[in-house]
Amino acid sequence: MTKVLFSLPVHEMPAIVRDQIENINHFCPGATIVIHISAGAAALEDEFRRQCDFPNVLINPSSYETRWNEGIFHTHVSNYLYALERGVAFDRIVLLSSNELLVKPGLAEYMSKFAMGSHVQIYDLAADWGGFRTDVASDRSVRKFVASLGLTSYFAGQAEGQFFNERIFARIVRVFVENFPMAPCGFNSEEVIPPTVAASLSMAGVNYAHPITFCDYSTAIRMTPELIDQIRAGKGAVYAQRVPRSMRSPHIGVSTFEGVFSVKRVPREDCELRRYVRGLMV
Amino acid sequence: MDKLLFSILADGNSEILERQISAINRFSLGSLICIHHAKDTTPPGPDVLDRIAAGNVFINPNSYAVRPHEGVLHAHVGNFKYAVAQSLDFDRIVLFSAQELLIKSGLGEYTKRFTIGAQTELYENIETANNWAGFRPEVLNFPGVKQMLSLLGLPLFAGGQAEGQFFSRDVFAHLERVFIEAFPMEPCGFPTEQIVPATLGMRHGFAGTNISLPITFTAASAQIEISEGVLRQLAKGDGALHARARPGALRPAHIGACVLKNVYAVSLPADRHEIWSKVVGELENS
Repeated sequence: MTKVLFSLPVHEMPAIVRDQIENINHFCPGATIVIHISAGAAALEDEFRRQCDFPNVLINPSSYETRWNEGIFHTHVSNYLYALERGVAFDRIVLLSSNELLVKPGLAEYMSKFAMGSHVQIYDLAADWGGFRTDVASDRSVRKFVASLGLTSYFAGQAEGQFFNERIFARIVRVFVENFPMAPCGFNSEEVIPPTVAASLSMAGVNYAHPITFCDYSTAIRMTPELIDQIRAGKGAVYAQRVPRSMRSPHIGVSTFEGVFSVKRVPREDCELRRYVRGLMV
Repeated sequence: MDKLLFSILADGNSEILERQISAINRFSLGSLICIHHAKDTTPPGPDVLDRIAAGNVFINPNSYAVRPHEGVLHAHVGNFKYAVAQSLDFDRIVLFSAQELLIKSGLGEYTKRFTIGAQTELYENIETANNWAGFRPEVLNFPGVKQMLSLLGLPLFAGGQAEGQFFSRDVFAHLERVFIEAFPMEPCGFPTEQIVPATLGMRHGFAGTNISLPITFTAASAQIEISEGVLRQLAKGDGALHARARPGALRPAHIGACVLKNVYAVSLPADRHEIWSKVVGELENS
């Protein structure tokens, strides 16, 4: 059975994080969860430790600063390093966010068929996505990182729900640490570093799946119980117009629901959508 | 395994047509082929048919007008009608242009898993350099398009790559009914083959049908050339190809995702057929 490690950066609402742990434990039993608490939420650390007191949950003792839209990949790197330090064995690491929830079982088995799951879009200023930035492309560290992979430009894609086998993630971590600080980088590093490495590997023939999270933020579509039902059924496709300057969703306009196991956005509060997902955990 | 009907829109070049048929008979043995010749072009003579020597090739006697960029779906519909009238036995129809060549075996097993293979990009009203030129209000307001959308109960149309789309017989019969009701059997002034099948595919996707991508790789929408290396990767099916989109083109269907194992054909201009012969030969001998 594929051993799964979830990397989960959090910054607020310990009770909601507990809800997410219960959700993961229901739909992906046997997984390990490593949690990074943002430095800005240090005051909540005790509460996080109390709420997240599960045998399969590790609280990363390192709390790095996080700033919105400036990159949090260093927190996933830190979580990975802490899991290694604690001797956690795993086959796949999944990068999650704190406002998503799993909605169906079968994730470990699904991921075992792929070395990685990523959303890989080539840097293209004509693509009308704020993630493609000339200042990022020309950043010295980014250029060095890209060159180290034998590429000429960076790639980017959806951060949530990316997954990697241990060997590939070790490689991603190594190139990150060699080129970037363990701090916000000024761009969404989690949307750039893993997809760029995935692109370089895919050019050599390594296959990747899509990320396992369906996100509703880049199109006009909104997460609803009906959409969750369709995702659980794994059939058909949904169509929606893109929000200007947003990324092109990997899950819109194509039949990818078989490989979707998590949904975002689920508000970090006791709401109808969260209660609906809880109702599926029977 | 599915029984396939290839609908080919020949452009009058017998040599290319022979190569297409030869590739189909090499990689998809037992398939049927229906050929449409545009009005005012020369259909293949008996000498060509003798050389092809294939009892599975049918020449559609109905030749419709075809004009570049003005829509050719009526010709595929004409081929479908002719095949049905001839009681040809097939499960899936595959739409081929005059430039497509199969590159590997297994298509009949693959198509069996899907009733539709089509790229289905929803009409996009964000104007960017990468936005497809077909997504424009004039097309949306075209009477035939409005009629089609009304018949399908949709507010917007979809666009998608024409080459290598495939459909079950039932789905294409539905498409035929919608097309005949909404459009004439002639060029319509916009690329019907990129809009009507994609919109029908989207309708089925909404209703819970899993849609596959077209089985043909084309470089028309991306800044990529089909080199020997690309052709080898397509034939092998591993990894992904990455390239920027061409301005004003449809989003490339097979770029940036690991979908190459489901690519069974390439769209290659005649002057590039040499690399097809070389790579296919190499792979068969390896």
